[in-house]
Order: sequence, then C-alpha cells, then structure tokens
Amino acid sequence: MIKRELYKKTIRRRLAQLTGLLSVWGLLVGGRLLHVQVAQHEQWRAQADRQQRRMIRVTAVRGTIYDRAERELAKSVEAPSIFAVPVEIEDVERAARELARILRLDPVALRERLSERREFVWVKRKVTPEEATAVKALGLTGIHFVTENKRAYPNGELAAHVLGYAGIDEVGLEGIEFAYDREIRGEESTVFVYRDARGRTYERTQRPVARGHDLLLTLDATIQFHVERELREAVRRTRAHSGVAIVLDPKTGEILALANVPTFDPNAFAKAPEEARRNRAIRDLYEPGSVFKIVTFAAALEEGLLRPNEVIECLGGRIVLAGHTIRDHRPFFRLTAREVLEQSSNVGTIQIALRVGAERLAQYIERFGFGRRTGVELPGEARGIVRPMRRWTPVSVGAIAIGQEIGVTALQMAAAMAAIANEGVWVQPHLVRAVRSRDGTVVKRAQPERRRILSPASARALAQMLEGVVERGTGQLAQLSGYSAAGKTGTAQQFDPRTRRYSRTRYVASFAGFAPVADPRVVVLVALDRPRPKYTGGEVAAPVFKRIAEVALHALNVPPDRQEGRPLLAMRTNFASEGTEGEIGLGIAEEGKDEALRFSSLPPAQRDLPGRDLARAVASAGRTKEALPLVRVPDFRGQGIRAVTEQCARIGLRLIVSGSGRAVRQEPAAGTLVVRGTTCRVQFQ
Amino acid sequence: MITYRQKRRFLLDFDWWLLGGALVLALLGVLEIYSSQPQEEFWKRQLLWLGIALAAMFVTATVDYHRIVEVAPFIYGVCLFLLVLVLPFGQEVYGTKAWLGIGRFSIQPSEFAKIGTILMLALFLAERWEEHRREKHPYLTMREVLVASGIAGMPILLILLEPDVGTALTFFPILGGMLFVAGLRPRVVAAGVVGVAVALSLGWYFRHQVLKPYQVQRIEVIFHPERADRRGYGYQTYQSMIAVGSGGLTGRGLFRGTQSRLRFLPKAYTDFIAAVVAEELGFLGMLGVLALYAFLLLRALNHAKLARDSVGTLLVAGVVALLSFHIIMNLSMIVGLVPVIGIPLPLMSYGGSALVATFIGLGLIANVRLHRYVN
Repeated sequence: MIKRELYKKTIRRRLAQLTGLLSVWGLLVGGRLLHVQVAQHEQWRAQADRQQRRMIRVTAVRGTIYDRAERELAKSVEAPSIFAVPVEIEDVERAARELARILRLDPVALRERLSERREFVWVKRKVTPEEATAVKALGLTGIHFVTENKRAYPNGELAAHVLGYAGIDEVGLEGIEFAYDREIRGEESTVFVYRDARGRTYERTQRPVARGHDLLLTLDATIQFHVERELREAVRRTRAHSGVAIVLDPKTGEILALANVPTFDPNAFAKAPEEARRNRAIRDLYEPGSVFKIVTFAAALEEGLLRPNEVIECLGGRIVLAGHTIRDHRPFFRLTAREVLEQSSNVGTIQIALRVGAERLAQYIERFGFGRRTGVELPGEARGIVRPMRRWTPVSVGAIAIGQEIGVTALQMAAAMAAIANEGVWVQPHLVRAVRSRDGTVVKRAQPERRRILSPASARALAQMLEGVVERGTGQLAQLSGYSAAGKTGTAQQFDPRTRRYSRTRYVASFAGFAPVADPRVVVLVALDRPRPKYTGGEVAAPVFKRIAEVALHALNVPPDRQEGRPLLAMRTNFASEGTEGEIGLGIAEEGKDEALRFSSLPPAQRDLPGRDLARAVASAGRTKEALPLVRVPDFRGQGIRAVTEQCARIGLRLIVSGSGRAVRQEPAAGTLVVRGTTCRVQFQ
Repeated sequence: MITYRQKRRFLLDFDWWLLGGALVLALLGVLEIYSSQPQEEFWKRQLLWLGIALAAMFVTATVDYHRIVEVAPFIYGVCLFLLVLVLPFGQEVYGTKAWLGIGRFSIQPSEFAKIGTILMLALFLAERWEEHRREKHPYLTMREVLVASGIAGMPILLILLEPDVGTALTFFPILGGMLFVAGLRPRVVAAGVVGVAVALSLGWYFRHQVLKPYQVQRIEVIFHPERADRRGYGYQTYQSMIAVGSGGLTGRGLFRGTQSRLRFLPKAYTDFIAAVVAEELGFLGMLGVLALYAFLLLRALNHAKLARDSVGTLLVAGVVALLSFHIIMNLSMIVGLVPVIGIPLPLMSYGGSALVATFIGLGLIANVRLHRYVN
C-alpha cells in the first residue's frame, strides 16, 4: 500500500506540473498582451481610427451678407452631399448605374471613380433633398451622406456684381465673396464621424460648425433694385451694348448701389458668360469725355485762374493744338465760364486748360484719384490709364482736359464727382460698412480714406456751375422733380484699338451728378456703352440719372428742396374731368412732387398757337395722351445777354446769341407758344 | 437537513475568497456586457443568471461532494439525454443547435454536460485509483484510460453533432487533466504530447487537404493579422486585436470602447468580452483580470492538494482544467495567439448556462475545501 505521504507527494507533483503548464501559457498570454497593447499600441490605435473615424474637413458656414438695412443678400443654406467609400461598395456596377440615373451623372465616369481603391470619393455634392432621399432609398452600402452648405442668393440677380459668388467648395470666387473670403469663410474645422461596422454613421463628435463673419454692406437693396431696373430699361431703350450705374453717398463714400448690364444670377454663375459676370464699373476703362471737364474746371478754380462768370473766347467752335483741330458740337463764340460748362464747349474748356497748364492739370488728375485704384473692396479693380506727363504730346493737355487720351473706371469718375459734392473732400468709395462676428460684435468697421483735394469754396463754386448744366445746359433732362440737381454730361467717342482711331459709331454716353445741390445726398453716375441712334449723354444718360436720383432720394427720405413744381403750359386732348368731353384744350400744368400734374384750363382766347406748333402739339398729344410741355416765348427786347440767357434757361428754351449789348430782335416773336427746347435766336446791339 | 453546526461551519469555513474573486469577475463581465450592448437587455439577463448561479453554487457547496458524486451516473445520464434532446428540438443559432428553449430562457445542455462529465470521471477514476493504491499500482491501465475516454467521448460526440467544435474541444482538457492527476504513465504522457505535436505539424503541412479553406484562413490570420480579409474569416481576430491594441496601457475608459460600441468587434458580449475589457481598461486592466483568474485557479489547485480523498482532488482538477482551458484559450484567441474557436470566457462572457455551470464548478471546489477534514 502506498503510504499516504507518498500519495500526497504524487498528487502535489502532478498538480505542480499542471500549474507549471498553466503558468507558461499564462505568461505567454500576458506577454502577448504586453506586446499588442503596449508595444504595438500606436499601430492598432491607428487601425481603429482608420476604420471607425471618418475625418471630414468641413468648411465653416459662410457668413451672411446683408445690405445696410440688414436684408439678406447672400446666405448659406444646408445641402446634402453624397460621398462613397469605394472599398465598402458591394456591387460597383449596380451602384454606379443607379446613382448615375438618379443624380444625372455619367455612369461610365462614375463607375471608374467608384472603382478606385480609395477611402473617400465624392459622388455628387450639394444635391437636392429629393435626390438625397432617392439615393437613401437605394440602401447602397458604401454610399454616405454629409451635410454641407450651399451659397444662396435669395434675390437672384440683385447686386450680383458686387456680391460675386462662391464656388462648390464654399470659397468665394468673385466680388465681395472673394475679397472678404477669409472673413466670411471662417475657419475650416475637422469633424470626426464615427461609423459602425455596417457603415452607418453612428455618432459624430460634431462640434457646432464654426461660422464665418457676417458682412454689412453699404448697399441699399431698395435703391439697388430700382437702379438695376432703370439701367436695364435704359439699356434696352437706347439699344446700348452695356451699361453701368453707380449711386454713392458723397459724404461717407458709401456705395448705395452699383449695377451693371448685362448681369447674371449668382445662383447659377457657371451658366453665365464672362461678359455678363464682368463688373464693368470697376474693371472696364472708358474715355470719360466731357464729364472729365470737371477736373479741368476744378483745377482752374482752385488755382484762382478762373471766375465762373468770366468770359471765355470760344473761337467759333474750333481750336488748333499742335496741328490737331478740336471742334465744338456747334460753334460758340464768347461764353462765360459757366456757359462753357453748361454748353460743354470743348474749345472753351481747352482755353481754360491752357491757363492751368499741363503740369498742374496732371497734378489735379492725380489728386482726383485717376490712374490709381480707388481701393474699393472688389477684386480686379482697374487702375485706369493716365499717361505720365513726360509722355504727353503737345495736344495732350487739350485732349485730356476734355476727357480724351485718358482711361477711367466708372467708379473713379463717380468718386471724383462725389468729391465736388462733398465740398472738396475725396472719400474712398467702399462697399463694406462692417464685418461682424456671429455674436454681433463688430470685428472691423469701414475706415475709408479721406483727402481734401479742393477748397470748400472752389468745390461749391463748381457745384453751382454744374447745377447750371442741369438747369440750362446739356443736362436738362436730368432735372429732378422736387429736388435741385447738378451734374455733367459726357459723350465720348471711344478709341477703337483695331483701327487705332476714334470710332464714329462707338460712343459712351454718360452723366455724373448729384442732388440736392445745397446738401448733396447722392451722387449718381450712369454710363451707357454704344447707345443708338441717340448717343449723347444729355439725351441718353441724363434721363436715367433723373429716375435713379429721384428713387434714391425718396428711398433715403431726403426732403425736397424744390417745393413748387414748375408751371408748364400743357395741352390735353380730353378734359373729361372738366365736363367738356372730346374737346382739345390747353391748360397750365404744375408738376407736383409726386409727378402728378395739377391741371387748369386756359381761356379759349389763348388757344391761338402758330399753326405748325399746334399741329405738332396736337399730333403728339393725341398719340401719347401725355401732357406736352409748351412754353410761351418771352419778350426779350431791351434786356442784356445775361438776363436773356437766364430766362431762356429757366423756361427751357435754347438760345443762340449774336452780337452784344441789348436785345433788338428775336425769333420766334414774343408771346409765341413753342415746344420746350425750341431754339430762340436773339440779336443784340 | 442542515444542522446549526453545519450552518456555522459553512459560514466560517466557506471559501469566501473564491466566491469574492469570482463575483468581481462576473460583475465586471456584466459591466462590459452593458458597455458593448448598452441598448440591449443582455446585462440584465446576465445579472439574473448570476443570481441563479450563486444559488446553484451554494447548493452545490453545501451538499457533501461524496453524495453528489454518488449520483454522478444519474446527472451524467440526464446531461446526455438533454444533449440528445437538443438535436431534434434545439434552437439553431449561427448554424449550431446548442440551446433548449424553456419559456423566455434557453439553456445550453453542453455547459452542464461538462460538469456532468467531470463528476462521472471523478467517480470512475477515484474508484480505479483507490483500487490501484491498494494494489500498489500507481498508473491507470490502458483499459481504464479507454473507459474514461469513453465517458468523455459520449458528450463530445453528441456535441459534435450539434455541431459545436469549440465546446467539444473543451472536454479534452477535462479528460486530459483528470487522467493526468489520476496517474498516467510518463511514456503515455510523452506519447500524447508528441502525438499532438506531430498531428498539429502534419495537419498544418497538409492543411489544404485536411481543413476547409476558412479554417486555414482562420489559422493563417494568426500570423498575419494585418493581412486579414476584412469581410472574411480573419475579420474577427483582426478586429479583436484592434480592440486590444487600441486599449493601450490604461485603456480608453469604461464604456468608451469604440470597437465594440461601433460593432466592429464581433460577439463582443460573448466570446470577445475580454477584448472589450482590454480596449476599455487597457493592459493594466487585463493584468488585473489575469491576476484574478490566476488567484482563483491557484487557490483551487491548493484545495486539490488539501482534499480529503482522491475524489475531491479529481473534482477540483477537472474543474480547474476546464476553467483554465477556457480562460487561456479565450484570451489567446482575443490576442491572436490561436485561431477563433467559439470558447467563451468563464464568469465574464454573456451566457446563463455557462455562468451557472461555472459557479457550480466553483461550488464543487468550495465543497471539496469545506469537506477537507474527515469528520
């Protein structure tokens, strides 16, 4: 019999052997754990992240762009995007086919993309909710969704050239969207989306996605809307090739509206031709023509070389400079400086420019900011073409004085006009009032550059002279109802780079002006490229100025400074309201501030018009059923030239003066009713 | 009836340490089951089963193990009957008919068959052993080894019919461990070791002829986890190693294991529960778990030494063999040392039957200790 001790010993030995075996195995497991968990930790952790986390770079939500009254001009809206993880797709063939059908993509190209051995490929970005739902319903493996943001321009074309647009990556490509991209875009953030083994996104550590800053623009959407409408209408009516209109606040330099025609819808910018997307107002150069005379006049006034009522010899409408003849649109002999501007006499202006001299003229051109970017917050602004003085020819001083041989942008011209309206202080035109972070704190406020370029006195004198242009001169169609206005017309032949000569058909008709004269609130520039058949600034651009300026002043609640309307003699074919049905009658119409005519009949005795004028008046009135402005020619006999000129200007008669002294003869005779704008010839002795 | 003295002795002498260690592991298991399947009710069920298991353990520990071993043939018979019953009436899960439904719960007879087999082997081997001791014959005869193999072979066969290779495999260490303790000739042991080694090498050499392709893949992935076919059979090992490896030294924090939460880890609440622990509690956590298991097993082995008689020793040896095989195979599986075979981690993996069977096993160990003195 084995002793109990031996039995115990045997048991112990066998159990110890078992324990040893277990320990070895246990140590093996422990060692392996140490190896996998500690030594190889990084590697496995990376593997885990690779399969669990999908890192998606998410651009921050772009800030909203508001107009000055906080109306949304551009904002970002959520849009689903579809991406694929190619290795997870089970049936690439089917997936490509189905997706291509729903999303209207090329199935071959899509299949190729889905076959790539990559972690991530976009299928289609920013799809419609319907498309997203349809794709979800397919239940394809390896097809995933992520919410992106899409730029939306709720007003369509409104202010398209100012706003610009943002591309598919939410990166600004044009306009303010481009210029302020860094501020609007905000900081890109990374979102980790955890997904489970079946590819469903499971939970996401999506911090609230950052938002870019908001922009507060100087634009007024109401004014912008009307400006665009008027400009579009004007381009259509004048059959112009394109057009630009700018509304500035002269005191602050704020751009209240900036419009171009043709235009485009930034929501579908890719479909618009470059021609439509170009912001002509700041990119295209044109020869400003007579509008540029304000610089010549400003220089002469500021330098004390000119008094507004001084008589300038206009040489019968011809001047020869270094062998080149420059002509007026009609012969003038002796005009006051005021009249030179009002009638836009080239010869008179050149005479003044010769006093100023090339050097000082060049100085003033520079002071007014030509040849230099205004610094408006838009990409691609042109500098303009101002040749340095050493490259001027002897004819240059005259040509430049009347706005030739120089290339400017519409915005430069508008800013120059604004300086005159602003008592001689040039203010940098700008579009962004403030950059504001999401929580409302202002990050950046506009700080436009300001420079005094003229003394207040010179600026005021020039402003008064420019008022004359509207009152009596070439810009009469720019007269506003209810407000005084000042401005300058321009009709510039454009240099044709092909023929290297001034084109006879290609004109830029423009008008730049401001209102009200005493306390200017808006500066408006209108330029129409190649209008036909009418092509002068006075005929084509001035009426557009009138409409835009009136709308802008109303929108800004500017009180009228011309309370009483102008009395007009007018005719109507039908006085139904007065109970004399079917009768042709004449009356006095008074233009109220709302443009409604208050009408009162004339006694029958006064209806005897000279036959031709009456016939014209009746024919015209019968056709248009509109009030036709008629005026009675005053008796000028015995009056001086100035008095006659002023009277004619006030009532809207053109005047051709011959001789000097007192008026002795006039044509038509005193008391004749004529259509406004009729030319009177008055002889003085 | 349990007398007052018995009750007092039970309270004083019961192996509370064993129970405590097991309870800590089981509760950690519940926690990790919750962590891997927070939306499901598995953790609640496991808690319920834990209650049942504790009751079972106390009952098992109280009744003198001799009296239990006396009825071993009956228990063994019932287990075999249930294993037969499972074949026509079992619920099929993952292609295996291993569960019998009883109301809302289902039990896995193969888990209880392990205990039944241990009891049956203990009865048989102890008898033989006592005989040998009388005849000064320290080793088992070949015939006895064959009979013992037959006892283990019956449930193995029935379980292979389910088919559940992993569970069937766990009967071999029971048999081997108990035979070894009961006394195997050294040359038989040596022959066994050499035999297994040769079989493994030959099997590996002719793996393409012997094994099915997926089985070959499962083994090959052990050596090259990174080359695993992500949708194929290497997937489980690969995902488990990602979980273990990304846990690092200190883990990602309780309830913060992404591998299981995002369902990359297969069977995270059953066979791969240790990978969840490794991911969430890291190497240090795993060290703690290993230490607890080692504590339980070494303590049990100590009881085996103290046992009053060979039946006690054999019982403990059987349970220890069973548990240690489970533990080590399961842990080896999650760290990619051995191919994936469906062997759960005792005490921690979800599964009521296994939990109850494990606690019954622990009850037997406590029982052996409780009755170590001859009255």
